[in-house]
Amino acid sequence: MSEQETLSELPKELIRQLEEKGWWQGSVIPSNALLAKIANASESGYWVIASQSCNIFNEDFEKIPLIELIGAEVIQCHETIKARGENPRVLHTLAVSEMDERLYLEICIHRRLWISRRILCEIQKSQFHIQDVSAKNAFPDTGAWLDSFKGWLARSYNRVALPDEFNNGLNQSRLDEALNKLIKAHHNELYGIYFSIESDSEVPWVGVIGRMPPPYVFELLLLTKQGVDSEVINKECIKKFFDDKIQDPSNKEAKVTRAELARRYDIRILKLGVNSRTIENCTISELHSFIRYSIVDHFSDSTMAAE
Amino acid sequence: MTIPVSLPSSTTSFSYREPTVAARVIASAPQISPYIELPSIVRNLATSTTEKSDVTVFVDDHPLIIVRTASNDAHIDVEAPLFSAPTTALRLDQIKERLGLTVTQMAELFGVTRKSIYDWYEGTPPRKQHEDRISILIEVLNDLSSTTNLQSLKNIWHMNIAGESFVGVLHDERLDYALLLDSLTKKINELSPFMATPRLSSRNAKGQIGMAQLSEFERARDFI
Repeated sequence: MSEQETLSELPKELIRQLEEKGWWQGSVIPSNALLAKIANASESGYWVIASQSCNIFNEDFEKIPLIELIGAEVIQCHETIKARGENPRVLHTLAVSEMDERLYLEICIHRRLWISRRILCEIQKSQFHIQDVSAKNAFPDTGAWLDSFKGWLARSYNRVALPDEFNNGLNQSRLDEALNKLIKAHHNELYGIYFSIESDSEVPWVGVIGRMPPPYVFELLLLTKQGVDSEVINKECIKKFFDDKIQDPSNKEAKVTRAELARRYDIRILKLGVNSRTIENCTISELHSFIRYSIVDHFSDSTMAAE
Repeated sequence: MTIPVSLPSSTTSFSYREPTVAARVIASAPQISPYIELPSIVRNLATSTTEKSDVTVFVDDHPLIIVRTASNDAHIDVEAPLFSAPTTALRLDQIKERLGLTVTQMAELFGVTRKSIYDWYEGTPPRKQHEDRISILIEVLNDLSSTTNLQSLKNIWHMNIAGESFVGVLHDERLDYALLLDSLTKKINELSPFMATPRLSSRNAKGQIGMAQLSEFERARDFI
């Protein structure tokens, strides 16, 4: 074989080795396997492949020479919120071996490493992988660890930041408390809760939504799963926002509704602003006007930068 | 002013005093006859028989007393205690519920901000152009059978059929009230074949691709 032929065959040989070793997004590499080649590998006990598999196996080693790893440490048990991907900076997940051994990991969003793909050909194949475990109920399943990992990674880039003042108002008015109760009570029925906010001033806001100053007009969309009566959850939300009375923080003798309290924090919501749909009756174009809410969002304001 | 009425043929001519309350009355009960302008009623009644009696008519189950005067005139009793015109909020609710709209979609339909929708609901009167659009939409919706499902109109109201979309027609300032009413009705008829929602067979929903694929507007496992 000529030198040119040898060079052109090299990527294919590398790909073959990568495939043979079973590398995939979610593969777990112990740091001691990398220490001889990467000085920074000692910063974490384990490293998880974050790059998509299409990049791992791409034949062009010049255009795609590197893959991304994200640091992880072994933990003894999960925290539910972190296992759900609700913490924007830390994920608890599970990696499994072929022999069904289990490795519980805490992955940290800030610990990143880029290594040459060729290194994966040189080190031993991975024993543990974060993977989706199929469950009887396909939607949602409870073993979608890789899917959860990918979603959590993606959210670190595409999460829409709501204004701090809005998040604060949501908290002070205890609207978020009502929403979180709704989520906990109906977590099997809810597909998602979506927010829409707009400036409640005469001059419309045209900048980034995260910088929109108060006051705000607030609308909510409760999306339920197939076959769920969304009206039931709708009514419950309306009751919590507009009927139930809570302690007035400025007057111990008085009670107010959460919606009334929200007005004091420049958030205006009316009953007509609480809507519900099943996923069958909702379109993508409808959702484009909304931002997905999760419990972590209202904690994820700029004061939470360091954690 | 337009009031839907259904009068017995025994009523003859009558005079009319415009009530002091807001004029538009929305009839949703199918037994109420279509809107008839009062001048037409007067013309029709002039040719009827002359049996003398007071007449009570019901509009949305609210009684209006038409009192026959000594001079054979009848007038609408403005003191009719149960009569009150629907508020803007109630009228908007008709549109919202019939079309299955969120506030965002209502704002899109009327070409205003969400703030404006909330303001209308809280008592700020809409500008005349919006007031007219609200009235026309209600008339259009009331003219349709109550069994006509319009929940998917919002998904296609920007679709251009015969040169213009439903929203485009609604916002067309060149059209007067009557022409707009007619054009919107025609537009709904043109769109009706597109309003049936096709359903995916459950057999097509095989395979678990995961929620992370919908990351543009979706987040995985928030509720698991």
